[in-house]
Amino acid sequence: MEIIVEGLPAQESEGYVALINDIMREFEIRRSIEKVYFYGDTENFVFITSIRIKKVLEPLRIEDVAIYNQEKEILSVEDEFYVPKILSLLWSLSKEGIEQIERTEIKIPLEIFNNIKSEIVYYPTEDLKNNVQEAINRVLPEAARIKYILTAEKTVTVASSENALSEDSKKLAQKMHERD
Amino acid sequence: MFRMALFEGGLHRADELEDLVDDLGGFLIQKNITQIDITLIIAVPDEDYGLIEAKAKELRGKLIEVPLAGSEITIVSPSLGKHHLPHPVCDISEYIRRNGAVTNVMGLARGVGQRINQITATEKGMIEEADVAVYSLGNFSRCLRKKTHLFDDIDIPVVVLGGPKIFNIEGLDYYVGGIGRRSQRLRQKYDLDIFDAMVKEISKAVEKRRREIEEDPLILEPMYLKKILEENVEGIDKIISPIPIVLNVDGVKVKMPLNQFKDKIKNIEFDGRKIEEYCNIYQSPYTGFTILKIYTKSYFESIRK
Repeated sequence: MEIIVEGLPAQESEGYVALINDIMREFEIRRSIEKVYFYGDTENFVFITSIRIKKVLEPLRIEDVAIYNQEKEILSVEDEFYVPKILSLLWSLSKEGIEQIERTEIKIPLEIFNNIKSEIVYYPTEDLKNNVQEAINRVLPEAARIKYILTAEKTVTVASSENALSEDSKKLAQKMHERD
Repeated sequence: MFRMALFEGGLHRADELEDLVDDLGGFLIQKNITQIDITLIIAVPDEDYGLIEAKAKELRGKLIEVPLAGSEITIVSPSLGKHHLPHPVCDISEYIRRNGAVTNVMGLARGVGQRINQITATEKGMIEEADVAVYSLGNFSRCLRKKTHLFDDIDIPVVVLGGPKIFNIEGLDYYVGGIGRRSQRLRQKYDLDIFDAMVKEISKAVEKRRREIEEDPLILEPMYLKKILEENVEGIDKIISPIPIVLNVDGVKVKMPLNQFKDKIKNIEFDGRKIEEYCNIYQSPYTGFTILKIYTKSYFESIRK
């Protein structure tokens, strides 16, 4: 993970590099991030953070996270984390014949399973982006509550200030968003 | 002259140390028991400190001199948000406590930002109840300059902690750089060195406060007053707070509402006078605790006349 801090004096930049590093470690997203750009203008109190995600992961389908036993008509989910997501998906279709018999085992009739086996249960990149957004909020000063957010497939950029954001600041945020 | 020290050791035979302190005419400022360990903060006469050292060695405990014992310090954070707490404010507080002081942590309601930051009269009053205020501010020197009004008007010595190594402004006597916004525990060697520098600055601030008081000394040492209260006021030992009586440089704070406290000290006399004649007793408008500010000699004489 590369951290680039601009617009601040050398010593304040060093402090912010350490702070960004610590925050990314706290959110456990250091390995998923390629670059962090931080721009600070303390005179006008404008701060911009732009984060590049390393790669976009494929969404996970039910058949990716669980194994179905056709004889017993039981779906064994690999990780407990996916169980509530699968159950909510199943219950949105039908409650007939569906029963959670163990923490990670769900009884499902074969015809229902065939209908839902290709349904997406988890979007890893969306989850990562939410974490990135939270991390950006932590990096930015607490008083900078007025935010201008830009998102793309692999990039999240947030410009913020305690005052209304000027068009110049928004343009600068756009420029950082499109930067390599 | 008293020397303050912190003893950390086992509970077994620790009462021998307490007895020794008492025999030497010293004071037990604070006592915390955690399972089989005990932490004591004591004040002993300077000339007898060697005896205490020998006793601590015999008990296989650790004895450290604590410069901040007998003072109450408020650590002020711009807010109680995740940006400032628990790191670094709680780490700062912990390190100050290890040096003997009693600490309070306080977050301002609107202390963040350059343009929007402000402090209320209530907040100022709460801060001024302590002996020294420590402000933990951010990384940017420009922001620090815009926040000086948060501590300009505070009547007690103020120590400011911030990111920039050097920060000079008029009226600020104590500043420690290198502790700005942090998001991890401060336990590296570099951080502990900064904390040591911070304790030195706070010690200077406490010393300044003590020197101010020495110009017109108090008629009673706060430690004596604490002892009198502990021995005579019913119910102090029942207060569930870990430190029922907090020592200040110019008085004590008892964690009991004034209406209960006043009834209990009505008949207590010291040196032929009632406690009320030695100090101004009032209730804190913020915490509800009873505060006893000891009169200075000149004020006491003027009342007697």
